[in-house]
Amino acid sequence: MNCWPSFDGSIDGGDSRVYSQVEGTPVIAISSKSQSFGAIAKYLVAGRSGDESDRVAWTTSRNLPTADPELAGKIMRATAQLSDRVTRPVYHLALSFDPHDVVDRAAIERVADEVLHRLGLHDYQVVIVAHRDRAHAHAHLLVNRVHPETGRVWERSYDYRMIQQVLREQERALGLREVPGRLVQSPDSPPLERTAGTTREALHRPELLTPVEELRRDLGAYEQVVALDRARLEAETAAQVARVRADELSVAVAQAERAAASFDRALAQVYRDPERARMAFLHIAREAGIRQAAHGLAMEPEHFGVLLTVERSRLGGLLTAQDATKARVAARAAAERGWDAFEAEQALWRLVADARVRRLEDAFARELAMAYHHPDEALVRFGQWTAEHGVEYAASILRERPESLGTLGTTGGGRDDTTARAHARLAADLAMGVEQARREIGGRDATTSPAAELDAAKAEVERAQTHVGAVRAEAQAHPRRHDIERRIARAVPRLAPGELQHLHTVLTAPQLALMQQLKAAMREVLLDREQGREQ
Amino acid sequence: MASARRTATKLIRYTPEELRLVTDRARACGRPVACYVRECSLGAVPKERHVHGNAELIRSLAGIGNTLSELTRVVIADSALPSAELRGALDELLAVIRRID
Repeated sequence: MNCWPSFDGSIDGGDSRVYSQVEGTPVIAISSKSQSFGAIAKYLVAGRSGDESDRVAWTTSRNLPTADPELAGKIMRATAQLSDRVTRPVYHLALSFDPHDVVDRAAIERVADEVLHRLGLHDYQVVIVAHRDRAHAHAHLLVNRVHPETGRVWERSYDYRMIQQVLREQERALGLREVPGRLVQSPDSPPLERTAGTTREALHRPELLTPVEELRRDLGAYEQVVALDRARLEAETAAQVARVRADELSVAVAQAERAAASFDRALAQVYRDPERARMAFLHIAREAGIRQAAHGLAMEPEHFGVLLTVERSRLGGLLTAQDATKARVAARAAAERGWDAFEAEQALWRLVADARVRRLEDAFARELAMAYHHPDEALVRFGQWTAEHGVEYAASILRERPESLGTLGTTGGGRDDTTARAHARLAADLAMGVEQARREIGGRDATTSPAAELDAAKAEVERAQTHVGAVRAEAQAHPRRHDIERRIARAVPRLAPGELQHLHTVLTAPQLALMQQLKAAMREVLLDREQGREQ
Repeated sequence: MASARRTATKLIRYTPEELRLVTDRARACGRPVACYVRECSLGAVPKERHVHGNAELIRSLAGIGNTLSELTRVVIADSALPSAELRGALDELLAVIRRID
């Protein structure tokens, strides 16, 4: 039993549809040439020549007051005008039975009703015309795609697959000869080979992949694209962070230099040897605090060095004296500059130490990512051991027994973890470096300098930008995410039940979940669009 | 050109009255508003669809006919009730629809 659907309202321009499905005995359906309900109704009743009136065995209708095809066509045309947009309101189905099958009217109507119901056409106007002009029993279904009450237009998407499914079920239910179909096969029939270039799917597909293979490939590509998108976002964020850190450090260095220069200029107004005075000031500031150093410089500047003096004559030039009044006044201003310079320098060193800690932490995370399959889990375990036993113990475990923190990455067919262990050792050293850098925050005796840290920050910016460029280039080499989403969402409803079952065996759980999400999302989009049209 | 994928978009602003006018014209031609605007702007003149003048009447009569047909089926199923009158009324109704141009 076969069924050939077609739009007959569209055939003014020759919108012929050819379906080939049976191996060995191809069944081909070509839509007939007509433009309207009336023309098709006339064809169904009187044939192409117009004088084959005895070809009709019986007629019946659904949701129409008459079974007369021509009068029904008139009513359907009036109904179709409920929709002001539909251009092809006619849907024409031909149900054909095997010549060896003996089927009566009840069986044909049962199959027709089941097909209509499964297609969602049970509320639409239909005329069924059974013919007796061939050796095999067959009936035509003339369907109005416009709903008689709502005016909604029925869409035929994927009807062919649904029809085949119903026919296979009805063949079994009615004990008829089962026809092997490509989309839906009976349990006993051998699998059919796909014929290149003849099927609807093959015409739209550049490669001869099965729908399941194609969907699986698309889902794999989608996962890659999503991962690349995430990697791109992370890389861009990391680059932004690196830029901000470098800018912050750069500003702090400039402020500290400005404050130091200002302090030096102020000291030059006070002391014969400003450098020596500056050293003395900073020594006291570090030993006794900046408040005491500033106070001492303002009130007793002579303790920091020899003051600048001018000679002044007294008693009409008989005596001369060294006057340091001007230097003492300038010392008060120098004390303020000194305070500012000291604080700016302290802030800079804190920032340098912070930057160093962050840089080492980033390097630690990178090494963990190179060492483990799941670096996040390894990081959590490392943190737990650090909290419980101290960082030295955690680092020693990481160095000597890295497998305790998670599954190590492998090479050479999954056996060689030497590289991963090397990265783990490096990560352990970096963890100790982080700990040391944290201890040095606030102190000047760090193992780096502001200039070196600034250079490192700038190098980090360059590295991050290079990484962003590489990820972007890789992302551009893949199909667009939106395109893959649409392909997947469209492919899923096309699958036959057997293909869906097969799909469940070949896809991973995340891929299945993803497929369902995309399908639902696409449905939402289409519903929104439909509502927009109605509005 | 027709087979090329349309990827470029252009926002057009209308007053509400203008938009209503354009929407009505598009509907009269049986075209979506965007298609109508595109076709007009490219120089085509979409033709208004021919609307059967008595379509609404035919639809109403067909609705009554459906009810009569259903009633006839029910009455036939219950053989105690006479169905000839209902069948006659339905035939008369269908004859009226047949005569409508």
